[in-house]
Amino acid sequence: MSKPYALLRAGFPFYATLGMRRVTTMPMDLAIGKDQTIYVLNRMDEISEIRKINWKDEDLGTIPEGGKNLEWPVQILIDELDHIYISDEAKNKIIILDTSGKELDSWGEFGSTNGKINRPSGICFDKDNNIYIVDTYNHRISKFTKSGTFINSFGENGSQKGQLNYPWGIDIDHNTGDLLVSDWGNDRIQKFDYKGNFINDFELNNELVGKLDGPAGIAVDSHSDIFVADRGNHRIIQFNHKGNYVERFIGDAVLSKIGRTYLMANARALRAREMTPLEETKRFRGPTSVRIYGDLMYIPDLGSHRIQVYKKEAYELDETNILPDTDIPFLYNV
Amino acid sequence: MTTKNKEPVLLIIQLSGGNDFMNTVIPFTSGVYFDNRPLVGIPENKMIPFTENLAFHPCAKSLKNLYEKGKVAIIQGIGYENSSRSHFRAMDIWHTCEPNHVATEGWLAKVIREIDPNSSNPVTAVNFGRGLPRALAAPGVIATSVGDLDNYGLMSEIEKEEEKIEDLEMFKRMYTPALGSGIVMDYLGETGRTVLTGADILAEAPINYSSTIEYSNNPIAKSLRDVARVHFAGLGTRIFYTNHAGYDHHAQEVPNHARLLTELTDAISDFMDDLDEHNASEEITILVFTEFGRRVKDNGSGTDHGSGGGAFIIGENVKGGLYSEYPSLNPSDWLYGEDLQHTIDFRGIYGTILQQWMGIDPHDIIGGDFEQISPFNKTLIR
Amino acid sequence: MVTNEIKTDSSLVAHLLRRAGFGSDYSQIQEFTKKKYEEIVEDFLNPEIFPEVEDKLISRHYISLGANKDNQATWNGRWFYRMINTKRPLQEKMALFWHHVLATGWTKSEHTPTMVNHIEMLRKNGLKNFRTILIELSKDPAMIYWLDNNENHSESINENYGREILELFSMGIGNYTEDDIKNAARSFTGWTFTQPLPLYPYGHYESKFIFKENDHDYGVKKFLEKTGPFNGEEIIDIISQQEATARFICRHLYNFFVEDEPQVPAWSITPPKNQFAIDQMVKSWLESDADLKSVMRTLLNSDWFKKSKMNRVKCPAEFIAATLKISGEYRSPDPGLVQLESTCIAMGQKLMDPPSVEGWHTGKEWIDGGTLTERVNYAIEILNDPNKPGVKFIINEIKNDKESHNPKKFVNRMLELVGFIEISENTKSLLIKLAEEDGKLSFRTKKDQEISRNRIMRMLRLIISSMEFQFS
Repeated sequence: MSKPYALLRAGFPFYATLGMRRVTTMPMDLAIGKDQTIYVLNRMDEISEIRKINWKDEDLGTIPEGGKNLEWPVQILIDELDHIYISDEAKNKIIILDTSGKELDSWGEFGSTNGKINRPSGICFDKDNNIYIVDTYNHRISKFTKSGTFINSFGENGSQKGQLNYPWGIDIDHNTGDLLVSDWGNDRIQKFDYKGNFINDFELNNELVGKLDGPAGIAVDSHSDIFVADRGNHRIIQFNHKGNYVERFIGDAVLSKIGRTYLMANARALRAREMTPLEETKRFRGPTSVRIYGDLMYIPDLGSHRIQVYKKEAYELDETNILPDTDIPFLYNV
Repeated sequence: MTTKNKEPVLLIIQLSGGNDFMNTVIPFTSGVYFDNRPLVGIPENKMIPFTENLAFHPCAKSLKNLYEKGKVAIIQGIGYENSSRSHFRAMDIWHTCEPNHVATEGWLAKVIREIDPNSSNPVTAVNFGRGLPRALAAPGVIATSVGDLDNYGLMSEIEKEEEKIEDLEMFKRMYTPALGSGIVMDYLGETGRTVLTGADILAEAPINYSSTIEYSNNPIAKSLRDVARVHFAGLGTRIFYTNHAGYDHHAQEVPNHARLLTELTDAISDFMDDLDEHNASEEITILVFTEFGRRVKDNGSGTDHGSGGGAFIIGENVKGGLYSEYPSLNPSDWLYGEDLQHTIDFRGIYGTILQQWMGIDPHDIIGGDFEQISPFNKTLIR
Repeated sequence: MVTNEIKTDSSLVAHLLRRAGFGSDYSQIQEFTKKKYEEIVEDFLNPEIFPEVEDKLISRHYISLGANKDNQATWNGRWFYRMINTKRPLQEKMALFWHHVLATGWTKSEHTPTMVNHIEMLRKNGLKNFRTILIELSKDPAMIYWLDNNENHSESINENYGREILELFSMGIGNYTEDDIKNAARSFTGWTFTQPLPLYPYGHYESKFIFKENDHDYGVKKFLEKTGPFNGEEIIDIISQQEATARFICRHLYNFFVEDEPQVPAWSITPPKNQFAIDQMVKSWLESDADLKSVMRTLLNSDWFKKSKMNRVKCPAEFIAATLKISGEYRSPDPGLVQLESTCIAMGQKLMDPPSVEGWHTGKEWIDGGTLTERVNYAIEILNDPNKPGVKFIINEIKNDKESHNPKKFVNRMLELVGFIEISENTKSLLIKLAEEDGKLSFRTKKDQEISRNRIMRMLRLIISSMEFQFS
């Protein structure tokens, strides 16, 4: 799929809720495997694990057993071999597992010189099978091969254009090969080319919705739309490929299947639900990630222990459908 | 004969999290059981029937063997009025015998006070695990809590043995305050020196122990082996306490409950064999309890907190069999409309053990008179 | 530096930081000595001048902090992080003080958000007027549920809160009648909270105070010789003006900040250890109309406070924070904070969960064989490691200061470096004898350095496992 000339954005309705506390407990990130199993990265402050669930909302168990090789995992990716890659910011490692939880490899060395890392957070693959790592406490992005050989790095601490302050999320725009980075400490998004040259930066600056507050995970879809987990504001912000604000998602959860089963067995919880307004309970709480698979957007709703899914509805347009691109506003006369 | 101690000894095994009694001792002829437990119900062809209506969980084979030898009393439907569904509150109630207000004195601490009023033996009661359970705690009562018997005591963090010995020697001198240092300093010094004595006493235990029994490698087996080692050393311990955690099976109950029951019942069986090997079978009675049973209806992956649990009294002197009544399976009898109703008060079971086994008047300890049962062989009642 | 003029004695600064804060490391103490004592006290009394501990970075790593209030151990970990890093030590200490006195626990409700908010309420109001503190307390959902005020209805009163606010939170037993209790309870009818959603399936939600007008008893009440259609706030007005309240709370302050008193139930029959001190504080209380800042100013600036060094048994939270201050750990949010809650429990204190409405028993009751073992072993576990930043600092200080290579000086210098700890003659002579047996420290050869480093480590282990280190 390549980037269309333009889009008619028809809507982005809420699609589904999955999971509940003690299955998807404090979900920080997720990835989907070949057989459509959803691998949810549960980070529970003291211990962490990957919980497998499916679209029937069934609990398929935990890997690795007892979460023993994970300490402070941040992000999870799955490659085309169904190998799971996890960044761990306490161990300063990339940990690689198979889908049964067996550790295939782990690499990464603590430090600040080239090739070393200090609190890795966001990760993404490029098309050449390399992995970009957000090296948070070194305020830079480093590229490694999947087996851990250092390639190069860019970025330094600061708030000027191209500088980073405890960056968090990263994703690649596969239409252009450019990298989008959540510059967490500067409350902005920055774009770099694949070599690390600064392209541009953008913030959210909208009268109605305010600014970004600690942008965390970031994802780019096949239309080059950019989705950012605006953690401090408990929402997801959508930008178009130019960095213009499109819309926000604040959470619209319904009861998941497993949540319904639980409530049907708990008279007290049912009564409490009847005694309280429910609107607030639909909203995200402190989301740290957003993931795109096809036309579905998955948000691990960390504070509410569930996954919320939205579906993008858009028509792809070509030059014959829409006027040429412009930033100059105009008033309408039919 | 290795033991010098002929006084009756009590071992408490606490199952933390709320053991699912209905899946431990299964009322398999009841349709209600299968109707309400589509997910966690044990298939009839796997369970181990032992009466016309009741079966053990498939992983409780060792318990079934002990039961057949007549060494297991099953207390069905143990609990109390308006059972609390909170782990913490429920445990507090079991530990203090006070269902109606928050109390601070543990029931076993009061027993220690009866047995050793002058606190002359720091190992009269020994807990295996971190921190003293409330049951053993009360002002002025000394009980010892052992995390790791092979590395117990002050300064256990110091790796080099000779450094540790030297430091402990200095510790002893530093904790011998000069005359007139004041009550608090005197108390602190005495406490420090008592801890040293307790550690010295317990250090003896592993040295002389030998046994052909090979316990499994899991926490409850390790704890029961530690109980055996301390008991055979004849240190005058009358109460042992340990904890088997992980019974809070809201999710993934089927595999996890099976694992815990295997570990628990095998460990008890090995412990009984170890006692037998050391001619000590008649010296110890075991009480296994949990803070509550679990909800009748499963939640799709496990079961939520309920009531009407079960306890077990195990030992050579025990008259095996079923005691009290299995809680009614008729939904109209259920507590809060969804939990099994208790049929005997737990304080009566404590009372039974105190009076009929330990030879101690239970009235003031359990806070009243409660219905007792007769689970001990008559000839051995003290 | 020329400006390095000492204005307050180091050991007095250390004492103040132990009592009005959670201890300090050596460099902090040196920093404070440049100020006049009264100026340090004023800084402590006006926390708002100094920045709050940043939540942004800690909630990036203790990830639930930015998302919900489900996990008590994480929030207690955050509390320890604040104790260690705060620039407002007295604010944090006052929160712990009020947590002792206005004891409210998690065990009954198991509702962590309410307890987290309760502690935040204590932190925010701890140095304000006592009237404000009691009003905020009475509107606090954690307290309302803890003492059953949600069951206190205009048609059928529940006396629990009415009783405890008088007996435990203000005047102390013997200063009011059973009728006063009933009438206080009537005044608080209708003070309740909103229903929160439970922990499952999607995590806790918060609860807020509400006043249910149609469940309030508007009738006339007679309370402590006054008559009127009092509501809760008016009852608190009357309570706050009572001299008995001033005496009771001031004795609590004295017990927490100055010297261990007997346990509270004995107070009605045992006179205070220092009647003069209590009188001075009560005077400040009455003159300032129950302003905690004024009372604390009197306390911290008094001679009896300055002379009260090392005579209170540290509570477990103080013990842990003091140990970590020395080790230099957790200056940024590293892994391990969440485990501090269980460490503290093993020493006999679960933060956010005192054992009963009477709070924790303090003083020597903190110590028994089990808790003493936990304390000593914890301090050794943390500090018996030459690579910890604080321990490295101590080793280097001794190494670089030739004078302290002399055995006697070595012991004295070590006591300063762990925070100007004062120890008994008995302990001191034992330590000096030990140091003298091994002679002068030397750092000439590699072997010398290793021997000396081991000696420093051993001296450190002995100091932190001493009886005196149990005190504040």
